[in-house]
Amino acid sequence: MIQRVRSRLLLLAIVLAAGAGLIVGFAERQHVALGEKGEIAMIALAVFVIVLVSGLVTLQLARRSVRDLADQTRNVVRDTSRRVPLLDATRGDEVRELGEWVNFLAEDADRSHTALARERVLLSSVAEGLTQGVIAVDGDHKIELLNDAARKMLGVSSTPVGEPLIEFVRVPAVFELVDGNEAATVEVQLPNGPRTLIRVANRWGGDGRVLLLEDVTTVRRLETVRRDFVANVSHELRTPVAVIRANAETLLAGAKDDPVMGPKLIDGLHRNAERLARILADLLDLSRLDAGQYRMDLSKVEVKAITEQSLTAVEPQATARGVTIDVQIPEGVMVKADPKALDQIFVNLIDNAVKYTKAKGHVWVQAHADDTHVRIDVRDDGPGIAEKHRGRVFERFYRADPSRSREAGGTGLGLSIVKHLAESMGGAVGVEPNTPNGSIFWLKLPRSM
Amino acid sequence: MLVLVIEDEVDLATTVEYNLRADGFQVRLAHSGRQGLASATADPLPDVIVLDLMLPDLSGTEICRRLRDQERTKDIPVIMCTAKGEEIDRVVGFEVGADDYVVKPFSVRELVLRIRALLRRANRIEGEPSLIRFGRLKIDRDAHRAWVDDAEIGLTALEFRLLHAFVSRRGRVQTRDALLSDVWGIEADVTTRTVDTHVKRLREKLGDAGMYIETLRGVGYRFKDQPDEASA
Amino acid sequence: MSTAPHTSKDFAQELRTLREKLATMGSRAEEQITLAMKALGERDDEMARTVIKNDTMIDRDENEIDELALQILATRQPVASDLRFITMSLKFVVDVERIGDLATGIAKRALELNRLPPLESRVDLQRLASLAQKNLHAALDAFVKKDADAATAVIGCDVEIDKLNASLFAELIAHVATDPATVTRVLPLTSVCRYLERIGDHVKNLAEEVVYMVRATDVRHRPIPTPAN
Repeated sequence: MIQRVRSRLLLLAIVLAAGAGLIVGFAERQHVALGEKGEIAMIALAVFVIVLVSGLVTLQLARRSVRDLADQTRNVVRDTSRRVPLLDATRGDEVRELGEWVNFLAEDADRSHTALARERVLLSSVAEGLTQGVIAVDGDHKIELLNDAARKMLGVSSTPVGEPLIEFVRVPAVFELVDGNEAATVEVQLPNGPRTLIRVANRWGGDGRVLLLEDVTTVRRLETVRRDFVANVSHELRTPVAVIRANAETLLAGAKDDPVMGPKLIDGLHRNAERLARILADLLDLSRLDAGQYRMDLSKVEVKAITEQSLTAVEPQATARGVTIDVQIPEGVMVKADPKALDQIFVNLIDNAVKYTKAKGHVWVQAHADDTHVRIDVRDDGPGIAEKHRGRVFERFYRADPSRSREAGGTGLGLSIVKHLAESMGGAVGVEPNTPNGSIFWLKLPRSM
Repeated sequence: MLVLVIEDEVDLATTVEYNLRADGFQVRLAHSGRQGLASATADPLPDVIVLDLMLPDLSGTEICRRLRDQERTKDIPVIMCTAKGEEIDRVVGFEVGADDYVVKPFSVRELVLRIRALLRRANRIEGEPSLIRFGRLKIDRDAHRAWVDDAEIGLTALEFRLLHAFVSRRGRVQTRDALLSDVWGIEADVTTRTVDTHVKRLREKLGDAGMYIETLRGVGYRFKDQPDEASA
Repeated sequence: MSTAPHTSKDFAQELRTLREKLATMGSRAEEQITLAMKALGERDDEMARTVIKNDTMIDRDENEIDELALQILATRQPVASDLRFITMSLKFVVDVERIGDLATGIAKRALELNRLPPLESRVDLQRLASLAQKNLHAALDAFVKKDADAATAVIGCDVEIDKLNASLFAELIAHVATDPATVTRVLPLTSVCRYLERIGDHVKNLAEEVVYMVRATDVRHRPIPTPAN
């Protein structure tokens, strides 16, 4: 561009010089006596005019090119489509360089912008996809990010970004964490929310903090269940062991020679050893069921046949207590089941019914079939089970009436085994009250056509 | 001497009864909490009560509390049968009010001995005080009392049992597991860390005499064989 | 005069901290009521003792807030809405602290009652407690969100609490009249009833304070408009 200006100026200078020369020559022709001084003045004037005009022209040219550049730049800035602008870099050296540089910057900015947008989408997807809650706050405790999981845990319905944290969370422990300087963890019960482990990580961006919320309700519940179970097991085992130890000790101390007490103690030893063995066997069963090691051999099984088979185990008890068992199952009703497991279930349910009904009571075993399932009911007319216990009788070691069940020699595990077995065969169990009194323990199994 | 045994496990109750009778005691049995309370207040009043913690109708702690609340029964010594080692501190002592404990499964002989000790403590009759002296430490085994430099220190029943376990096996190394089964009974739900906690507490209470208990890293503890023995 | 180095950013931060401390203290009081009622309902001694122990934390909160508020008043010399906020904070804190004390009172009655056999007939104190708790929660929500309308609604709800308290109290008295032997058990329950009603009153105060903070209108000592039913 400057090149162009320079060549134009040269041309202009030549023209003006020629013009001045022409004027002087013309003046001479006209015999105008300018004299030496006049000639010098003439030339000086010509030079002055040349300089003035050339200065003005330069200014004008320069202004024009700068204005062009400014216009182009403004267009780039105003271009909201953010596409790489095409600054016309084909005019003159210096401007071209500048133009190229601006182009480069614009492209770079565009690339950064795309990358940033992508990162933001990535962060957002990751945050929303997490099951843990994530909250990011800045130095003023304003929320920068609150993902969906956190929203649910805190019961937040509106969009909290930019709002102060205190409007959504009031838990004191959270603020203690946020105000602290280190990464720390605290477990709190969120109001109207789950039991949560809240971890605050180190500071980001100078002042901000990130909080991670983890729902530990299930974990804690399972821990409690496990702890209770262990406590229950050790208690259940402890009792027969206490008797065995005490009896053995007494016998060794001399009671073995006592004609009355001796046999009693030995009988106690025997009974409790058996009891211990039964509890251990049940526990083993349960653990195998838990581990999925109990392999079900499903086949077509006739309900009536299995029921009658299971009665042989229960009959002695029933006769001893004068309890009548009435089997009212039609022939030919078939289910898909494992015969051994089904037998075990029936023995358990019918035995329970006999044990818990009053002496000389009545037990019925009935079956109803629909298109897909068969439901077998074991009814008794005993005292029944109170409503508060009904939901829990299938739990391990749960005893609705501890004294009675222990007397009856129960291990406390029978019903939980029944439940496990039934569910492993694709069935279900439950209990309902019988009218006017007693219980109905029902078993539902898929029909076999 | 009349012992009231409140235990719902009939087999266990009758065996304990047999042993007590063989040792010269008279025995009354009760198989439930309510029965037990009724029996405790009936004439003749028992001289000592053996109470199971886990009863079907009322908890042992509740029964003990009620016994302590009533004028007639508040001074009768109570020995608890607990099944959970972690409850011992809570059960024996001010909170519930039992005087001593055994952990199921217990040795019947041990139970009988403890009953005798309780009675001796209560009546201060028969037998010389069973004092053990060791350097600056003095222990009355039956009364469950201990003194350091003749100043009495307040120990819980469990801490006393721990101290006694140390002193009676002084000079010998005891592993944490051994201490656990001695003091807490055959236990599943108390960890060896509890032993450490209680040893620490015991040491603090013993003050200057605490140095009699030595820690052997990775092995266990040992009570010094001689009071002026140099530390290992 | 306030010293030059303190920037308006610091001032904003102090106000924010004050607001947060008030809200978290209120949250603690909420939790105390929940635990105390649970200790009462489930006859849980340990839980009751925890409530009693936790009361010191609420007292500590009160001291911190008082200090901070006074410090702001002295160094920032706030005006207008900020001034209203600070002065109301000092009242707010007192009401929350009283609620904490009342919750502790409930816990103490629970300990007393646990030593006695349970009362057979269920007098529904839990319902009164839920009402009071719901209102407290709403008042605190209104506080953090600076929502005067929500606060006004809370003020209106206090009538319900008073009514329920009166009817429960009557029920308890009737219980003793029909079965005089239960008086040792009913008396602590009447105390609990009274405490809950007083909690309701303090919650109403909190709501009034919020309205003043936000709107600069003093709605205390004014009759509550009865809903057109």
